[in-house]
Amino acid sequence: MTVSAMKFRNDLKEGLIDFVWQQWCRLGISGTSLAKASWMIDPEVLLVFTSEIGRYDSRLFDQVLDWLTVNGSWINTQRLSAIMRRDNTGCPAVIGAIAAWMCDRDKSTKWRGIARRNLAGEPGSVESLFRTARIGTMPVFDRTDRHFEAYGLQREEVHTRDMAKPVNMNDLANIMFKSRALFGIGIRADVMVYLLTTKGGHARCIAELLGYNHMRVQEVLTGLADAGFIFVRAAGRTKHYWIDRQRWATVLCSEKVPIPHWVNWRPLTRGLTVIWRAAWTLDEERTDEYIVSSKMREAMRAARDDLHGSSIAFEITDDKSCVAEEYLAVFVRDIRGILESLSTA
Amino acid sequence: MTFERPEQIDGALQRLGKRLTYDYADPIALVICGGSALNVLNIAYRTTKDVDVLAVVDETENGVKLRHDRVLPEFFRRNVASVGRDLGLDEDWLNMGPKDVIAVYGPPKGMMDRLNRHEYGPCLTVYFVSRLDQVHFKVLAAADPKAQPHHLEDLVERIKPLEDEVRAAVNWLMNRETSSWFRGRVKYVVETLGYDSISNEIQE
Repeated sequence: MTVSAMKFRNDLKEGLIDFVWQQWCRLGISGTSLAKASWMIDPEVLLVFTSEIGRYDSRLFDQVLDWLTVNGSWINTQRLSAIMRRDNTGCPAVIGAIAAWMCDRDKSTKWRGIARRNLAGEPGSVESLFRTARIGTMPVFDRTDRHFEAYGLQREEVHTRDMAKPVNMNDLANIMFKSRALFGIGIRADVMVYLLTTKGGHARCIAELLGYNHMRVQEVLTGLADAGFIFVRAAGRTKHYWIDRQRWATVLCSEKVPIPHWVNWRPLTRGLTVIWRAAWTLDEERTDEYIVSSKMREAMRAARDDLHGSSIAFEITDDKSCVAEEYLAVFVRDIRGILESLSTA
Repeated sequence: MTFERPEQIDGALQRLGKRLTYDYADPIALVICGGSALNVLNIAYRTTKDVDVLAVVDETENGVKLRHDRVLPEFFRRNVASVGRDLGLDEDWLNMGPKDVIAVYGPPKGMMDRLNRHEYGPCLTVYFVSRLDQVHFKVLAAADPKAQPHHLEDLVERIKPLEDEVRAAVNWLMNRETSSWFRGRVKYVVETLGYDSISNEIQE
């Protein structure tokens, strides 16, 4: 693989890990968040994405486990499962292992289902959880972690540092947690966040963005509208639901901060996952400039609609004007722009 | 985009070969005719939009065997489409447009011995049809009233076939039961090429 292609791949890894770190820092893992983004964070989508990206940074991964011991009660495990299944994002074995590990720490039964569902039927091959070592080499551990081993993943026994803090409910990024504190962990809380941070929408669109069943979202919206908490008007053949944002901001947001921006986290991480997987499955000893360019063009075409649908402004060049290997430089420039947008938004 | 120079056709096939090799595709061998073969073999130069696959072939110890019952595999077509997107070509820039020719008419006598073999990595081998066989296929294509005019133009302006080549092509086409209408079309092509003596040999 060419030097420029290898560098872009490392830059992509560093950029995405940094992006994920920044989000978790705002949620309360130990570390300083430089992110000043005024957007909300979707915890389930972030956890699913971390199950894949976090395998390249063991410190980040273990800090997230630490965070879950303190804040895991806020996670909607049904939604976590549904998002991973529908979006083909994240690593099911890793999520299963995390859930199994959480079962020992959370008295509720909510992690059991996801732990059971992601357990491989037959004992298969074992691989290293962390992908920092060269492929093919298996690190040796004094004591492997049984929870992860059951999912075919080898790692040293987990020892959390107990440094994670409870979610800062006054940070505007954490509005989904605050809403869950008020409405309970479920559709109603997340629908209210969507309505508060946007101009509203119709049931199918909201259900799709949040990863819930359309009919159940419709029921919640109808109930809230009937009770006069939200408003509804006909919009063609659908019904548009919205909320008195200023009024609800006094309830769900701190008085000193503005209402956060809604980010479509699911399409964002779907798009990033497509590019990440395409980049990291490149066999660097067998590729040349053309293969890298061709595979990345394919990946960007597959990811483009999702990235644009994230509601973060990304510049993605139309590749039609770039013939063959010419596209690689354009792709690298676009990826840099995307990572910059994620870190500075 | 269209292919304007032989190097561009070669470049597209090389990239297709690279992709197939990278993706561990099963090796495939193809017979290619039409404008792309004319260009690559330096028989005639003209722009062309696609690469015409006459047939898939098996390379055996006993030589190359035409497999006109086989179509391009799905995985192969996906790679063709990817290369098309990379180069700004149609997604089916390499296609089996003329596949029925061999099924209906059979190959011209000795065609398999005259093929020009080009390797594009371990997974893609291309056999380009020779000049003589191109004349066969072009006379047939030009005789088709629904065909585009470039077939006759290729013959008249670019290939400029010799009398023996046209005679061989006519014999190939007439070596079966034919309609008077079809014979009339072939006569028209042969006369346009200026070989009235051959035309006179074709029965009305």
